Amino acid sequence: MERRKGLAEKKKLFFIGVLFLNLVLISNSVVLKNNRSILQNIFHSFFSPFQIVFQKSVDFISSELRSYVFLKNSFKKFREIKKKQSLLKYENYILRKKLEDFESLNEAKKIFDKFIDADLISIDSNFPLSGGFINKGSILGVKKNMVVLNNDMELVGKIVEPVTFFSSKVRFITNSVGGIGAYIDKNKMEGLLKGNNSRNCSFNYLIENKPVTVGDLVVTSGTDLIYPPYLKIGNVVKIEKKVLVQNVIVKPFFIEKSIKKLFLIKND
Amino acid sequence: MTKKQFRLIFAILLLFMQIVINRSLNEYNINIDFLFLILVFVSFRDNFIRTIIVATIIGWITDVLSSNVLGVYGFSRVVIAFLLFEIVKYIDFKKLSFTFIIVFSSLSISNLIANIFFLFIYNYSFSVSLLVFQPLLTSLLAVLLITSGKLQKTLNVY
Repeated sequence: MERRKGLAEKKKLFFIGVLFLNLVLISNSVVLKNNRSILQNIFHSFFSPFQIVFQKSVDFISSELRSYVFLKNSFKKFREIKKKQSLLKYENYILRKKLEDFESLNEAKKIFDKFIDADLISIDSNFPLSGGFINKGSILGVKKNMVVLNNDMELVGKIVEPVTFFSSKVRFITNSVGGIGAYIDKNKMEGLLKGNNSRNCSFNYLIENKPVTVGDLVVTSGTDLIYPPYLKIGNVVKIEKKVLVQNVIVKPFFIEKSIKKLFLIKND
Repeated sequence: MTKKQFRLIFAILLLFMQIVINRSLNEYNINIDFLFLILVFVSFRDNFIRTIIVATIIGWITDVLSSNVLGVYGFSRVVIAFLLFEIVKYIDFKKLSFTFIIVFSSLSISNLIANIFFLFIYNYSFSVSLLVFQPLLTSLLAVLLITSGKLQKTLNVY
């Protein structure tokens, strides 16, 4: 009991002592008329470094944080820009591809602009291999002497009169009228290829010094100024040797193919 | 991390925040006495002598930070530490309203004592910021801290 009382007394004394110390400090300041006492200077000198360190730390941390936020935002923006760049690259690639396709389409268009597609609407019932009529006429630009090809770009014939507004006549190369300047592709032996309203055409009077074999390819030579050169006509199917000359029988390719769909080459 | 270490770090953090906020009082217009919270937590759980010593040191630091007469806050904080130490035995701090009232009233009284000294020394008038706003914000912060479960356990408030 007495010990506890003694402890309480000590506590009170300590408390009063601390209060007294503070009062002394206050009165000291008052007596010095706001000039700092030695104790105050010591306390300030002791505490100020901590204060400065803390403030500097805060400044450092806040500036670092600001930098971090700035960097983070910059990185985010960088990623967004990178993403956009990738998208643009992809878009660019697609557009380039489309442009390429478009250009090739244009090229194709340029090529196909030189053609007029037509359907065969009738064939001469008396001489089926002499010619027929197509469904395109002068209104669509069909003119006399236009070259007619089949689906595989093999020679079929040419346009002859009559050419009406909506139809035109096609004379097949197998027709007995007219002829085609042509040569045998292998040895460039040139001659006039003529039809005879049958399934074959023939080279007459080709000189014998150059050998011709069955199966040789025959193409147009362009010397007749009607048919352009290098158009495929047919294959050699028979060779008849005579004195100094040889007759070469050619079977046109179009004979064994469908000629329902035809193409006309515009002669600009 | 032990509870003692956590309490020390917590106290340093509060001191740190006090220094920071003291420098930017004009900027943010928020006046909170973080150091008083240390005193409150110490008076809740420590012995008398330690509470008085802590109160003195906190008072002196407040004096230095507020660039006033050394000893004014030292005196007022010691007085209030004594009162807090005597009162906490009889109060149930599980009720947040009690915590709020105790912190608010004790800081108000402490600031009032300091203000009386300033009145005598500098002829300063009573400051509403010191007597009302600062205690109000500080007590709100104290309530917020106490409601934090982990902090509650670590500080051994109850």
